[in-house]
Amino acid sequence: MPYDPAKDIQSYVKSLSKSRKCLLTGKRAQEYFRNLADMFGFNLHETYSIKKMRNLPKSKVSISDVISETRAEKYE
Amino acid sequence: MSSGTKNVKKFYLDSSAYVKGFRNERYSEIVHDILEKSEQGKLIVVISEWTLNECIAGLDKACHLKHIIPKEEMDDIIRDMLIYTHDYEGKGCIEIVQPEPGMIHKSVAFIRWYHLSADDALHTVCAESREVNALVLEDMHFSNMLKQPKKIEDPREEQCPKIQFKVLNLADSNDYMELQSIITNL
Repeated sequence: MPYDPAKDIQSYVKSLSKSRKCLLTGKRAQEYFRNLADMFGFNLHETYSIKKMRNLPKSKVSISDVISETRAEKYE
Repeated sequence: MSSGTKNVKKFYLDSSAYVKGFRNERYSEIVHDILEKSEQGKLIVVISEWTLNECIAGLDKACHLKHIIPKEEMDDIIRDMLIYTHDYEGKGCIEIVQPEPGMIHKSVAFIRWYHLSADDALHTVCAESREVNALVLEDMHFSNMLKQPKKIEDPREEQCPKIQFKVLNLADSNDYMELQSIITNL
């Protein structure tokens, strides 16, 4: 049977979706976030509230623009 | 969230969308809606480690290279994003894909057929790997590449892998309304 990359990818992603092996979770996630918290100097026990963020004034500066500009350079 | 989640819709947020959850800017309101619905167990947010890295890189660039946000603001956004992601990953509301070597290998097909950058191809495989219902982003290039891949003359066109999820670009008014309707009805 000839090799079919489309089927190959579809069966590969299907196999991943059935497991949680490529998810960052449990002890690995704890370690990952602990390392980042140490790197950026904050405490993971602090909290963040979406509700509070909604009430802040809207910024005219968009970080998404910075991200998409950086990406766009790869398509030029 | 660990049981009974089989039919819960999953939304992959790329960095251009996820970062909006942690500051108030254009289209933040709908990203806040998505995050709040995930807190309520009505959907699952999927991101990847790469999403977080791109958010941090975007914030770093905005602060240190473009000087459009002060360092204190950059630090606050990074802290809030990581605290929130850690908290809600632990509660099963957010799934974080950790790309494995096979995913990087397979993503080449999306570069080949969709002409994506290597980064965007990796996001695509990460989203596919969790069988998400939609990829949410605010990025015209990435969105257009997935929706209308540039055709190339190739007799093996049938080998092009099909994208199984919807691409919803926040900057496209039709996509925005569609997303709003999905979220409202959850």
